[in-house]
Amino acid sequence: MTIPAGYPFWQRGRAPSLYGGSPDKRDYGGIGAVNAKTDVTAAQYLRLCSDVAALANTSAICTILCTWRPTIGSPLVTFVGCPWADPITVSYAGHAPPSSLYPKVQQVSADQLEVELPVSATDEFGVSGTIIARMVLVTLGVSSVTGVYWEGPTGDRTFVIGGLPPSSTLNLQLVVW
Amino acid sequence: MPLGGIGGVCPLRLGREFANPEQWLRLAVDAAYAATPLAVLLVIEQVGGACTVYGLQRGQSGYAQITAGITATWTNPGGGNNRVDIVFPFSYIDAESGESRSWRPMGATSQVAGSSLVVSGADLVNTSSAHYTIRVEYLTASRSGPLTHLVVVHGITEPRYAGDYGASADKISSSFEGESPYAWQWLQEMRQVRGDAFSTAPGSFTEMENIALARHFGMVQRLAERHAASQTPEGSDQTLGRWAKILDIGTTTNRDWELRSVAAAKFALTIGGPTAAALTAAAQQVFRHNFVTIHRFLGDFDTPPEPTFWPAGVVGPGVLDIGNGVWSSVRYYYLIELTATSDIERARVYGVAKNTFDDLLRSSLPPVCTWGYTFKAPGTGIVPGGFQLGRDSL
Repeated sequence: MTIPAGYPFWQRGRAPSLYGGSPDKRDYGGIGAVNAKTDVTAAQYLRLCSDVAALANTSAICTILCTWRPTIGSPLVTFVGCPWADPITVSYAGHAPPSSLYPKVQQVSADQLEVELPVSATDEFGVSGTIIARMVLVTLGVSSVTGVYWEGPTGDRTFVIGGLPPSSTLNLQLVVW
Repeated sequence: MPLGGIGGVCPLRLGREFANPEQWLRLAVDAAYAATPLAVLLVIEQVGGACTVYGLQRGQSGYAQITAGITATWTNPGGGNNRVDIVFPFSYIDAESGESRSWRPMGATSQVAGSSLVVSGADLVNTSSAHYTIRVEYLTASRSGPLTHLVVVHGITEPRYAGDYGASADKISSSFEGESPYAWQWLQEMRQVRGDAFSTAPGSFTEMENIALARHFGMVQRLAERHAASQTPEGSDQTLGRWAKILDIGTTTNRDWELRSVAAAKFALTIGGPTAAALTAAAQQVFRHNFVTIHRFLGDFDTPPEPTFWPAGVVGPGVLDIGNGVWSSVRYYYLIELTATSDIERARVYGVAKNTFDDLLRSSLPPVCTWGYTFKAPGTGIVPGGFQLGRDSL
């Protein structure tokens, strides 16, 4: 079995050479494509590697949709999209995710919730990588609420989102980088 | 790549040994169509206004402080407003290769983190001759510590096409080497020629020599195949420039894959003549998925389509007759139907039509023939609208 080079995407650290696109790559013998209909040249492969690395460098690693429910005490997670687990569309109580692969989203004070991502995850080839999350963009479901903020990350993976209404529900969309 | 280093020698050959054309096209198209932010930045603004930028950006491998290229400056224009101007150069630099790639921030989403003093927005405010500026504006009555702005910057980069990665719809598997590389066949030959007295253990001197010779002979064999492939424009790579010169063609972008498709289309038209099938094949080659069909208005000789001027009679308004008994008919008119999903795409495709396909038709069709383009949807009554017999030829 062939194992992919490097760590999974959620550990970051993407450069063209990870995909075999090192700057000194060249066509053997310098002859270019033998037949343009059947071949991919070193220059074309390098372009692909460079562009894919550039795209991966700014890709989000996780998207979470959830509902802040202060009267119930546990946010409701309605969607999680992340590359280390199947997308989940069946809602779950944020404090009790269906498995350790999914984020824990729990209320930690009257106006704060905490989002905790897994420490690490394993890809389909069995390669484990630390989940390194540094930034989160919080979008609110209504425009009348202001003053929402976030702090973090604590370590690599925990964010606190505050300024939430203490007595009313609110939909949140979180995009994590 | 089951044969390791001996098989994966660039140029990579599509087929079972590497990746089949369908797989390569999917990879290339996914890479070309993917959209991610240009940068995701954390701008930490100290109480005195000094700003430090951290984050992710296209050319940088991983999260880090950004000390070159992107800078941020705080200003206070008064009235309770605060501003952080984030300045971007015209290009990002690939940290590994040092290659410069142009980008253009178009806007941003921003948020103040670690503070309840939100009300924040970001936009592209300035495109100077030297840089782009994204301005984050926010209101704050008072503050007691640093503010952290999260700024997600969206925009465009150099246009990417699957063709830039060596992917095109006419890509096929290499019929020989894609299954078993020449060098691999030569390696078997080298081992057999030396016989049992010489080691074939990995790393042994004779085996390394075997591999070096096999790769060399494989390359020589490739030269012969390349010579054969270069006999037509569609298979040529290093001789593509010569084909462009011979066929007297060019493209507005001079991308290799565009030039190759135009050269192949003109070559086929020149060799095969402007038959209906050859014209359709040429249009498919040049317009690719934007081509629908070529409409003709033939009628029959007893009842020719309007307008037709010929000795057998005149069908149509005399104002379109250019006189002196010149034979002319809408039968000589080609209406090329194209499709586009947006105005931007339509403009690009129309540019290809006027800059490239017009030249192809002008040099391939008899002077009496005329043509036009339409983006009208099929089944909506396509007619040679706007066509003026005779005058179009003039």
